[in-house]
Amino acid sequence: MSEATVAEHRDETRRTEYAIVVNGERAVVPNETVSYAEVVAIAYPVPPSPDTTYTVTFRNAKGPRHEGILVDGETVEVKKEGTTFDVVPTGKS
Amino acid sequence: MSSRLVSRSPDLQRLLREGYEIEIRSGYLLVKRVPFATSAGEVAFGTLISELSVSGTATIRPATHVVSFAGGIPCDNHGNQLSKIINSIGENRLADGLTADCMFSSKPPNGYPDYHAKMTAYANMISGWAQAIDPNVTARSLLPVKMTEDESVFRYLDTASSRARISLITGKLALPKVAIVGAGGTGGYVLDQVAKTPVGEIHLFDGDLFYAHNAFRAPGAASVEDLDAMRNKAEYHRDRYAAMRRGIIAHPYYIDESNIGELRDMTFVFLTMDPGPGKRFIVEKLEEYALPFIDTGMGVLRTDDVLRGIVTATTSTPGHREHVRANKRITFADGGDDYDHNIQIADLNMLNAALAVIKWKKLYGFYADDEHELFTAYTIAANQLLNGDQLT
Repeated sequence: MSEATVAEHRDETRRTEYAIVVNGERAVVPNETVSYAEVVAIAYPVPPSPDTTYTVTFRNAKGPRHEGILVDGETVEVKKEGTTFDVVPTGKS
Repeated sequence: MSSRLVSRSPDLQRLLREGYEIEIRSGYLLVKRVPFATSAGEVAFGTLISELSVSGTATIRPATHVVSFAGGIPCDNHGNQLSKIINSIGENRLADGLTADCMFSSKPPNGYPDYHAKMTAYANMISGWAQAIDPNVTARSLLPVKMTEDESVFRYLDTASSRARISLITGKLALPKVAIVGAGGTGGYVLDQVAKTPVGEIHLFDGDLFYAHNAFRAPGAASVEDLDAMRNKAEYHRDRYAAMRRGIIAHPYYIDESNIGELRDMTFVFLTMDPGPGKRFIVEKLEEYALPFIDTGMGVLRTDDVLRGIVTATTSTPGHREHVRANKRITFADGGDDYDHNIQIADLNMLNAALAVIKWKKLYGFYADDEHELFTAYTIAANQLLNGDQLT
């Protein structure tokens, strides 16, 4: 494999990754379809407590909704770059 | 207004002191927001306009006994024009933006000695008929009207509603009993807003003391003495808001199995408490009691040196409960404290309370509700307000 084809191959790999932003930090996901569980795992690799529940909001998505609230079990299609999520355990008063 | 003229004229001073809304414009003396009865038998508000005789820097005896009136033609409570005092009808442009609709003439034997006597005499002649229709209206619109216990929960008249003429809509919020479970940052601001509605009784539950860190998240300004007194939160807030209204009942304890029954005869409940097993118990009981409630929630994170997060309000009514558990809208889990150090900020507490109170007002027909959302989320970093769990 020549150097040129290696570079080309890398470009293709990069093209199939999606750069999203979770709680202000950039993260790369492999698929266009991103689930609630996926973004929660990015934001909280270790959950604060086993039954913590989260509120997830997103914006600048590809669709079908461009912005909204994501609940457990739902997914959203993200853009190549810049779809943004906020993930927090909500509850304090 | 020429404050120098007012301060040197005892008659104008007295008008102000008695609550009349006066203005001096283009050389005229105006008494504004004078209620009168219309030909349709409704109450409307107009402006009395008098010439203003001045010598140097103070008023002198009025030059004439007549006044003009802008805003309509005053009638009696049966819709008949007050022909005894109206001496001419027809638009009369007195100055820019000041056009009279009619002129009154009613002369006492010796005329009017000063502008207080003159303006109050005319105000009484026309507003008496308006009061026959609605006893709460007055030309002394800036005067706090004291209320007795039978009349109102407030210690003085709610002129914010009457001035805006929305008293009828405000009346929709006259629910018998509203509970606020948790008198922390958000609960304090919920009280701040609900106290200003005609709810009969507001029951405030909290077993905690009011500390300095609470003061920085509570409405109003607590003194060092307030903090030194180590008051219970619910009692502290009750005493503050007692200045304005009756019917705030402080319960200086948490809700648990032993006293949950106290919520049974509430009309509506605001859940403004931290998550935990206690919250799950209360939610289950509220469902059992078939009570409508709104839960408030807040999650704020520190990422590097900025804060970000989401503020939420979740509505649950006897007909619509499923979304609370299906979409995990209310956090029952405890133990997030170590992770986020319980970051809460007064403005977010205030917004959280406002989102809950606005939705409560929608449920009772005060505000229009087009989207019927049962969940609201505000994302700080995005300045994004989202509806969830909408009824279709």
